Amino acid sequence: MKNVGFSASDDDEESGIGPLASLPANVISRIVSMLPATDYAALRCVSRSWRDIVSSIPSAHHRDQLPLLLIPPSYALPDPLLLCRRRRTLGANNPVGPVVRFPCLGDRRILAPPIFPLDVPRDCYRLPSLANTARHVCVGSSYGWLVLLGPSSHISLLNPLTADTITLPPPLSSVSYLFPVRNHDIDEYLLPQGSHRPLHLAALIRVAVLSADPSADPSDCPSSFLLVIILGNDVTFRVVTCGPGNGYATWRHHWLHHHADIAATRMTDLAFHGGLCFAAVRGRYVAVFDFGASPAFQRLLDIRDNDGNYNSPASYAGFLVESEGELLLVKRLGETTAARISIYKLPPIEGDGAIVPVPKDGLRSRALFLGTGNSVSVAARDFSQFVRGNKVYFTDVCCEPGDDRAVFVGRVFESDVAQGSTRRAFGVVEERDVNMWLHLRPVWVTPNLRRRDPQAPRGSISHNNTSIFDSPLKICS
Amino acid sequence: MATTGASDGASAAKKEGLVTLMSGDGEIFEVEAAAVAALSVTIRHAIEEGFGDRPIPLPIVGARALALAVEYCRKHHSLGGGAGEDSAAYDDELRAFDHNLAKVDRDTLFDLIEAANYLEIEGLLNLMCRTVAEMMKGKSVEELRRTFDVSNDYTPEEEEEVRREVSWALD
Repeated sequence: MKNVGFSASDDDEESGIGPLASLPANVISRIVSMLPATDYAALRCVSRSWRDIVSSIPSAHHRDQLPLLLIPPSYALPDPLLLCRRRRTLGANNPVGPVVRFPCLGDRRILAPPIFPLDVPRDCYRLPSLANTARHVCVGSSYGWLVLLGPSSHISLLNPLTADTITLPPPLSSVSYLFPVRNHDIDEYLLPQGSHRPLHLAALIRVAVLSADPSADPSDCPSSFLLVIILGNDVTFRVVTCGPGNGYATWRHHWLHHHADIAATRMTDLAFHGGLCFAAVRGRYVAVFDFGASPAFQRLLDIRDNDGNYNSPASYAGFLVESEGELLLVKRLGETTAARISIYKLPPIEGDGAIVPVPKDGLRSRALFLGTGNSVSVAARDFSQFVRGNKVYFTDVCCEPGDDRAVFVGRVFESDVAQGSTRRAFGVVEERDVNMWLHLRPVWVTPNLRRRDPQAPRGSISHNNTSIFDSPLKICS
Repeated sequence: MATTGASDGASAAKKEGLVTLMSGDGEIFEVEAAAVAALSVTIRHAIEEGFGDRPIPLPIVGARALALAVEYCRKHHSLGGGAGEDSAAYDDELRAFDHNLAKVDRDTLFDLIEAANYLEIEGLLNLMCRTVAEMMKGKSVEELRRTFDVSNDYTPEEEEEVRREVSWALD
């Protein structure tokens, strides 16, 4: 028998294993990837053996799971909480599964009748892992890990479900040393001074993604992960990476070739696929990077229609989603409820082809969740209670009328690709303070229950930066 | 399994287009090569490697599971041309067939998963994995233990800790 995952002892029929143990590891991964995260979490409580089985599943499979919804905090509110719906209350009409709130309306406001009618579930559980992150801003997320910007501009990674934390080396404080100061508008913010810095720096970070799951077993992925951050504003643009180098984690700045159409605010998403990094640029381009090469920038890919002509409405945000082994560029055209979704397929890695449209029924039974750095494609059939096929779910913040003045509401929208229509699914967070709107956009987070180091004590924070990246860089797809 | 293969009147004189499979417990099945080769990657490779005139040994596949797997291949080959669940050819008859196949008892279900995995029949493996996943969905920890005959080998302290870790997902 090939690839038998988990050897069972002789008396396994009555032990903590049961018939599941007889299945090969690849089959168990496949089964588990068809479960919502809540059921997946429950499996771990069944027995020691089941916990070990579930924990040993390669994390690539988790990407097919229904994502959780994370609501970034309002910066002014103290004591952020991570809250989640109880799985028993999942409703048939609710298009997404477990909802995680990354705080922070506080228990009181969640339990009170909302001022604005939000169909938010009110029976939420709190998770303790974010209790100490009150002064952090979540600037990105991938593989279930949050990229948190702390009060002194230091960056850490946190898996909210396992409480695993990775503290990156003091990053941007030495930015002027790492690369020549060219733009004071940006570089000034990279230096840690004063309590307002993190918020300002957060506003400069357009995209922050990881190249691989930091909790991946070294045997799955013999190297490490790379954190890629795109910084800048309408005119400037920097790509900064933190990854292995000379035996310890190093921040690097990557010069980019100048192009009138590329500014940081035009970069809307990054995705790693086949060892390369693809960046969605507003308008008609996807930029390709290879962070193992120098220079990292490789080329621009162009959107063409099936006749070879450029024919794409400009200036809309694009997201990159890996779906069934292919990398898709998904563009939202128009405002929330008037949004239409266009889907394009990227050419094969080796080819120099153009980006071409996918037919309107091209997603078939897949449902896409759009989010910067963590878009996912799931098989709708596996989660038929929550999602339907050929649909795209995205989030946005809308200004809506309240009792006495406008409120900003973070909402989830459901787009029907075939019909070109979009409807509101539900609202998840509201805020009356206009200044907060930037941080209200809910984001999808892939549940990742894989402990980074099973031997490490709970919630430990590694200050030993040399242990994070001690092998040569190799980007895992 | 008398219902499969060998009883279809296929004799030694009519070997054309047939392939012989031998289950792990020694039972012989003569089945249409086209049907099984279209759906099972393992058997396709075996035929390509010249097993066509000898029985193909399938050491870990039991007779009962093999019979069901062969029936799955036949049905899907004749009705859907080997198509999976996402294809247009996946019609009501196939859906009903799959639905019935998924109702087997738990032990057969696990045997069938192993068989589908070994034979590399993607559609069958997917169907059976989904069936197991459906058995897990929405169940409490205690229900999971009962359904899958698993005894709790956690110490009370360990169990409390692991439950606390995922308390957001329970109840």
